[in-house]
Amino acid sequence: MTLLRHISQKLLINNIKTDTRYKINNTCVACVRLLNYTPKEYDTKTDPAPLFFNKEVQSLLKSLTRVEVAKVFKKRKLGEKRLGDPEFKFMTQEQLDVKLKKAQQKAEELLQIPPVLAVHAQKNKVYSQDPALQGLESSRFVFTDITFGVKDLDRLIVVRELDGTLKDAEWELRNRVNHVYFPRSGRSLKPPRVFEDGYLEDLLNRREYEFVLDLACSQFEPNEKDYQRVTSIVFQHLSDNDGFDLLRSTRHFGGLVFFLVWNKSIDNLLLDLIESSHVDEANKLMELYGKIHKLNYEFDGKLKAVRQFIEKDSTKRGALELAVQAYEELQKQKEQLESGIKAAHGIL
Amino acid sequence: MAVQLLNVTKILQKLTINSKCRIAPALIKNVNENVIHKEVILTNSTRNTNFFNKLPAHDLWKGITSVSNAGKKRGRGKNVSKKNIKDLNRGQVIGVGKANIVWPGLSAPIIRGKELVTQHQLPEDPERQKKLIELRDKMGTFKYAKLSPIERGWSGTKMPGRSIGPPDPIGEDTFDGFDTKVLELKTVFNMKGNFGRKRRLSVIVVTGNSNGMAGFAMGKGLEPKTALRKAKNRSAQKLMHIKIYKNHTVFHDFFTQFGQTKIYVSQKPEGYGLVCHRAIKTMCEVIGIKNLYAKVEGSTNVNHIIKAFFLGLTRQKTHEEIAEEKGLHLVEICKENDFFPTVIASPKEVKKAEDISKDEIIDYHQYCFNGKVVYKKKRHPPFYTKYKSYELYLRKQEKLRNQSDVKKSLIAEYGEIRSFLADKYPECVQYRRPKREEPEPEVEDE
Amino acid sequence: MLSPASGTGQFFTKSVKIIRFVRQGCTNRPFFHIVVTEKRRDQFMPVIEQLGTYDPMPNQHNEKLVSLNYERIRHWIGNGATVSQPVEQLFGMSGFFPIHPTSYLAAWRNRRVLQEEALKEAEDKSKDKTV
Repeated sequence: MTLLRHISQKLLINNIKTDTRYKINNTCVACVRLLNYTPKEYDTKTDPAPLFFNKEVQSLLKSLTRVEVAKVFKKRKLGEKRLGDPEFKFMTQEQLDVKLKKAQQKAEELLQIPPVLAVHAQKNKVYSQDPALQGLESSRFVFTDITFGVKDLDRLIVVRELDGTLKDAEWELRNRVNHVYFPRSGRSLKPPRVFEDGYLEDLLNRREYEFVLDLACSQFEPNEKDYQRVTSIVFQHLSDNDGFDLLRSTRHFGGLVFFLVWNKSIDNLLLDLIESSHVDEANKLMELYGKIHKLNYEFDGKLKAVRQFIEKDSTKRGALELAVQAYEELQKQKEQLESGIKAAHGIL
Repeated sequence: MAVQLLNVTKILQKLTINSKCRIAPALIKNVNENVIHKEVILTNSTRNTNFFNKLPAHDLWKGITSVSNAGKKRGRGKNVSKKNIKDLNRGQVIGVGKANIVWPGLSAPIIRGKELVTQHQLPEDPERQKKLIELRDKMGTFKYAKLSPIERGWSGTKMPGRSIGPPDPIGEDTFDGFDTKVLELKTVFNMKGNFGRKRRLSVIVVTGNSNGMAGFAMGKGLEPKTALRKAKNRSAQKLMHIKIYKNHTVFHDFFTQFGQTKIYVSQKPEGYGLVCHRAIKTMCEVIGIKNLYAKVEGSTNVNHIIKAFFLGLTRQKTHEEIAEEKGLHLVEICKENDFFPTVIASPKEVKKAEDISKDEIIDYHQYCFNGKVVYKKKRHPPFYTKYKSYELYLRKQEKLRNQSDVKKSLIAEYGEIRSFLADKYPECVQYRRPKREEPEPEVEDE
Repeated sequence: MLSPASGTGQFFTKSVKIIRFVRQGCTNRPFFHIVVTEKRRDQFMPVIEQLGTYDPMPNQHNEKLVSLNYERIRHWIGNGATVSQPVEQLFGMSGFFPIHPTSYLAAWRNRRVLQEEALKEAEDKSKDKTV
């Protein structure tokens, strides 16, 4: 059993190596490469939003997250000098139940998956063109409407170019200006250097996936190019280094699963699920895969769908087959043991 | 009158002659050589006995270091002590002196090899005198060994607060990992019928293995050493087990009292430290409690504090016991885990809301302090906040409200604090004092 | 301690109001508040309301940032407030007002200076060549 697992792991590693090479050879030259991973964005051509916000997909993603309340509410450092005094209370059963129910609701709120959207298109509405203004100024003018009660997204931000054109500001500028006049906590004017190549690599090697993703969530908007660059690299690194457990019971796991399914690289996740004997979750993953790529799998409560996937669409066939085999052997052994115990007890 | 004067002058003349021959015989040669030969008595008028060589050294020292009984009563001679006595013979060797002479048979062998050693003078040794003086200066100035800040007690070189090591082993049982700390060391007197006032030292120590095992005891003795030893070994006989929550603090807040000493002890989270009376702090260190806040109200007699604190510690209940006693869930709510209710302990049967009587204490804090309330002084704002000048000062400081953040971000971005004009005018940089240039060592031309 | 953007200045309902700049910042670092105030008042007296800001020093991306509270500006203009010429020019640039004629003039003058300089340079070059 252990031997089989070992072999499957080895096979997997080899597969990864060949795979990454394959990917790199195929990528466009313009893409920024980091850690041998290419950032993958959600295009506007194939918008993932309608699929992502589909109710069934959402519930599948949520159930795959495997919520543990204790992990959601684990102790975190709040950046204060001292820990706060814990408060003790006497509670009746009813009072405790009410509190736990509230915590459950809060957990649902905390576990909302960051939306998966296509990268937003550039705004380029031109309001006026006045070539007679050429030469008036040596720098651009940025005009921001700071009227009370307007959302950041709807705010009117226009630019008077040097050639006298008055047009909408580009997204990068909009973010900057919005932050100047309406700063948000947890966000900085310049993106933190954590997201730069060298530093990000270091963090990923230390497996600080949750930290990077949290920071990206607070710094960027979900339809920004930078956000998708960072998250895609983190997801790929995590998938290759088997860090799924680090992200379970966090809000990022749904995004990770969606990303892997979208990019047809669920093999590592599937292997993880089968090896840890989570067959129902493996089936759910197959269901999600089928839904997004419009494929039909047959489900029988066991590993039928997974087998179909391995035959048709898998890129790491050997490793997955071995894992499935090992799982079935384990099941068989368990059954035998159970029947043996029953026989020993005289129950037949 | 004139005759008298003449006589006087004559006498003076004689005297001058006498004195001259005693002081400087070389001068007298010119005066009169014959006179000297005739008057032999004038040459020897030295006395070899004086105060300093009539008495032995210890009598001489006694003369300056001792004070009469009557004088002592009046508080005299406090600064002179026997420690100041110096042995001036130390370092001196017979046969070795200022003049560096070799005395065969005394400071050197008579025959060296085949040669006979003759008495002869060596060049003077300036080192010898220096060494002697150094030896003399060292004597009589006693200095306490400097203690490291960790070894130091509560105050200066005093014993309270200092560690005196583990208790002595009894037979084969050793006290590994134990440490003893002194809490009190004082002189006490007892009146004896025929002896009068008898002075002894009384010591209280606490010993423990900083893992929940501790004991305290008092010991008395004539000498500090014996008193400390007695107390230490007695305390090892009186060990008790103390419950420590999560290996760092007390199980719950509690109120404890011994005599007029009342202590309110509060449980604290990790990293808080020991914020309490120094005696309580020392006890906690020995017991193994790392975080705690305690307030002493009433008498701060160390003896009573120790007893009250140990009483309180031994009376602690576990959370299960508390929950069972109350018949309710004990729930911890913490800021760090987003106010999630963590159940610490549950009773076998949980009471219902109807069963809780009207005057039952439900508040955990009040329950722990047994209905007592800690007196908290009201904090008044500082007096200057009412002044007009303070308002003005605040208004002037307003422009600096972002300064520290700006400095931080500038350093993060440019590595230095920078003017907004630095791009345009490169000379706009932060002033740094130039490093003092060290003079280069002169190289001689060869 | 600073006065709020809603302003603290007292004013008469029927007095003449003006939307104008108030110079803030410090020596060598100008920064302007766009405010509405009574016309007769000094620029450093308490204002009726702040309507925006203007940073005349371009930032590292070579942009001059202007913020305008259009809702309140409309309100004050509707109440009969006049606008000072520099602010009018700024409004013109932002597309809120038509472009101020002085802006066109300034642009034209700048262009002419540039042209003359270019011509001079070309002449110098040709002279050098002939020499």
